[in-house]
Amino acid sequence: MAEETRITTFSLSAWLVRLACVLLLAGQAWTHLDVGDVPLRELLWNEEMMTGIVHKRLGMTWSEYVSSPEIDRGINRMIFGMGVFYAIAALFALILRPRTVAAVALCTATALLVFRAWLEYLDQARQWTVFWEHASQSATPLLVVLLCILERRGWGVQALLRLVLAVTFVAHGIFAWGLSPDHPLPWIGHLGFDVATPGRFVEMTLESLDLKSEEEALQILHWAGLADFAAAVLMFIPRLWIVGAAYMMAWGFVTALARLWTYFDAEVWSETLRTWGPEFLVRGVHWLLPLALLVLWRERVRQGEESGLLRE
Amino acid sequence: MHSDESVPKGASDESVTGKSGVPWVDAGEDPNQRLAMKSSPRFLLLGLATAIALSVTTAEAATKYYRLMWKDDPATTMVVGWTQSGGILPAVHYGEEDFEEDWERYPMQAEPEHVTKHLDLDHCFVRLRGLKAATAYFFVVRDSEGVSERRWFRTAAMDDRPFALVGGGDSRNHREARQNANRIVARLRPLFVAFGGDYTASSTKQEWEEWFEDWQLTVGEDGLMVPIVATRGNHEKAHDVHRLFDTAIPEDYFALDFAGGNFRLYTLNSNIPRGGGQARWLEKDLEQHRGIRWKMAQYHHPFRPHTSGKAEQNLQYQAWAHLFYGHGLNLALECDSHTVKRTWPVRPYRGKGSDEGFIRDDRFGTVFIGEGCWGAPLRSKDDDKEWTRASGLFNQVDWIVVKPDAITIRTVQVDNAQEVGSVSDDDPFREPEGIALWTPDSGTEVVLTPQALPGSALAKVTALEVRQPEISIDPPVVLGRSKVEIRSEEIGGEIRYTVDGSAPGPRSNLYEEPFEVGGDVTVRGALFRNGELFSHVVHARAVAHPPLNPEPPRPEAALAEFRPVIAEGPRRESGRRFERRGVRLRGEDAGNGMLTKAGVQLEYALDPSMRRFVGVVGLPDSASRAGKGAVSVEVLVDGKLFYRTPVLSPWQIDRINVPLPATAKRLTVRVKAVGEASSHDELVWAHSGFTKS
Repeated sequence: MAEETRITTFSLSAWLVRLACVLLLAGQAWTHLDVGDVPLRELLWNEEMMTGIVHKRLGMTWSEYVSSPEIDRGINRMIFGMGVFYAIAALFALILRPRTVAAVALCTATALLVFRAWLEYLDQARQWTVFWEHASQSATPLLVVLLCILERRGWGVQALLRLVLAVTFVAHGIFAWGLSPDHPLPWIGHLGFDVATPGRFVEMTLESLDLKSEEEALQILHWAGLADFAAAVLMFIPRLWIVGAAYMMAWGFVTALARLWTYFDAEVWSETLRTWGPEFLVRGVHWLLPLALLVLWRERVRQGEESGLLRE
Repeated sequence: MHSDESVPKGASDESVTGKSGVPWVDAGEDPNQRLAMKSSPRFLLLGLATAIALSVTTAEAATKYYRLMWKDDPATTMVVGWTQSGGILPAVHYGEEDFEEDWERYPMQAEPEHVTKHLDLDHCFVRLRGLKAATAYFFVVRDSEGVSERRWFRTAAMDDRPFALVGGGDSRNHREARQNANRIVARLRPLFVAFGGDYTASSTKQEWEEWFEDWQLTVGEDGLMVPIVATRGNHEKAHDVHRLFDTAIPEDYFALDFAGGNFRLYTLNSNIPRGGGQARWLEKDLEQHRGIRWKMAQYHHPFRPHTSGKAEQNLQYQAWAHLFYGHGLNLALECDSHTVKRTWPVRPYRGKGSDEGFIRDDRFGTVFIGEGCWGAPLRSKDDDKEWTRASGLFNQVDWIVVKPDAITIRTVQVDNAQEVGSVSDDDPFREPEGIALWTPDSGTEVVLTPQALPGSALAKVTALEVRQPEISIDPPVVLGRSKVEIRSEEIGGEIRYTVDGSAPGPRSNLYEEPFEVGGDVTVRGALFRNGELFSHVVHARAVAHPPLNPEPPRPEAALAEFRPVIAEGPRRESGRRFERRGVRLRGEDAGNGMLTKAGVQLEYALDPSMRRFVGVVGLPDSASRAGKGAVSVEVLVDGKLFYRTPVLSPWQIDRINVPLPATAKRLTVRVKAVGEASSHDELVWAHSGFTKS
């Protein structure tokens, strides 16, 4: 009976992570295959990084390379190819069969997502916070491998979950709070950061809450940033981490939905859905992972109660 | 143009005039490196250094990366910016006469008012004021290390004499093309450059140093410098543009006047909320400057990119598109996509014939150009619209000549920049030798003529082409209250109306939502833009319903529940029950009633408990909306006429309340067509039936 319970409850948390992974990879596939607004060009068009390769491998001057419609089409094809891979990986995340192939596909997806996060970093004026903000998304396929294929559901996986969530929320919090020299708190300027609250954050807050001024939106975002930091810290404090995870789940859902809510336009619904639908899907990670963490904890508590080995 | 107009109110500007000419450093500075001027040991050596500097007149000043900007009136001000790489006490020595590098002979001097430490570089900005309009000023920068090369600039005119500008943006990742575009600027010698953002790929120190180095190619062989009006792109961090170009406010949106106030350039920031404070400022400023002949905007993200891999900017569309159209913006310069496009004049519209929210409107539309190839890798132009005039794929800048009667846009392909001659100052708008202009099928030049300002003779003529507003009064035969709705497919402007039959004016009632009227009323309405009539005055009339019988009681037994003993009519209709949801009488649910065709006669058997025959009758709303149909009804008891309704025209009803004798055996109702027969000759029997009291 106890064994049955363990399998059933553990499946739920694993399923939540799988669901997050499927949504994430489907969202990525959608973006790559449809709109194609992916920062792959940030690398391939980076003169500093690519000039040598272009000269040696393609035998082209840089000018020929970046002016060539054929190269541009080639990049589009690469993006499309990545989209196909994401679609296949999403399928593997869903069916998890055959296990070895699925594991390889999902580990590759994690590698590709880390690469994507690095491209975003390049795209956003090399702000490292952009890279770390993607920690949860990048780790999700790997978590599926650990939880669902290798069936590692111990404290290590929980710790990894907490870590990637905390990193994501700290990065998000830095953006929301705005660690720039112009911050209202003067000592912030001495920290050496120059990360202003992104205009899109302000815009989403302004539009979705129908606020009157940017100042109001910034105030809300500053508090949200603080809450993000607090939640990230709480993730590593016994018992209190539950509060942190609950906040992450709620805030993760709200911020994911805010994309659709703010930018959805019924009159051009298909167009806005094409752009913001994938954005909503990939951010499923931000609320499904904390939820999975809570479920996993609940399952372990139940398991501990039943086995008399309550650990937390 | 004054700064209080051009700079958005409420927007923060940390720029402060320096005291005693001592540079200060803004929020991005490193306080330990304030050009080494305030640290006390160096201060003690100041006299010595100055003495050394005075003696060094042939050495080069430790300055580089020169650029010119405007924070205020382009006719009377100029910001001279550079990067200080060493030395102390920099100052601009300037005047109307050219003394080459002989700094002592220049009659005026100014020290940096503003210094920023950004990207580990010291950027100095001298803000010159009180300059003469349309005048050449020569200047050098002198510091403790020496004297810079002599450069010069021109201030804008205070009258509407023609001028040229070069527009474009996206200069990242293709340095060779960027350098060529800069060379083209030097050849064309425009009054200024409108630059739409994405200067570098990652906004690193190295990339910006390269960019500024390349920017020096915009300086003419004779030292003419061209000011840049800088826009923020998505590859700039929040404060880059403000700190590097000393823009009017940190949010990087502002407006500048040229041609004596006849041309206003709006620089907008599509990387911060497009709505909110920015849109409020834009709307207010456009409203305040509605009489200006030419209006142009530059910003980074295109509303509708011409490459498929870029997202549509719908929130930007919502925030700005209607403002552009409603206030007659002539030209918009967009960037970001690394492709080339020109559009026909378009306005926001989402109805039939539109494409992605715009429709061609040659009279009042805005022409969009771009989309950013100042030295960026090229992207496929694979997303043309119905209103795309031409699109292409090459490195380019737009050469825009503004004259009182026309704006002419030519697109310059920059790859052969080194073979292009320079324009002559005597004829500065003539194409220089060797220039490669884009020649699409739709023509080499795009020529804009001034839009008909609202209220002008042209506007009154063209108003005939405006989609006229429509007024509907429902129902037009007023019984109690009727709803008035005024619709306009035009975007921009406002609807004003009257209900007393007088012509509406700009101060008449503002239509915001449907309203109600009672009795005989004539509603007149028209579209107004900027307080001027912009459409025909349209009207609709409501007439009061003729007096009615008192409202009868509701039936206790619905007529529709009875089966007639005799039913006669063209289609042997026996008074079938109608679907409750299908038929309405004056907009209201007709209750458990019936629908009968004209020509029908129905006879019902009565029982002694039935004391009254009651009901409300009229044409169904479908017939009334069609404005067709006319019937009358007769009620007979035992073959004797007891009641006849008046002729029931569209929207007219009648109330029937016929007492039934205790001995009555039969009730007959006849529905008769009146006048020319029509398929709309039908009758709704609402709330009809029998009462027992």
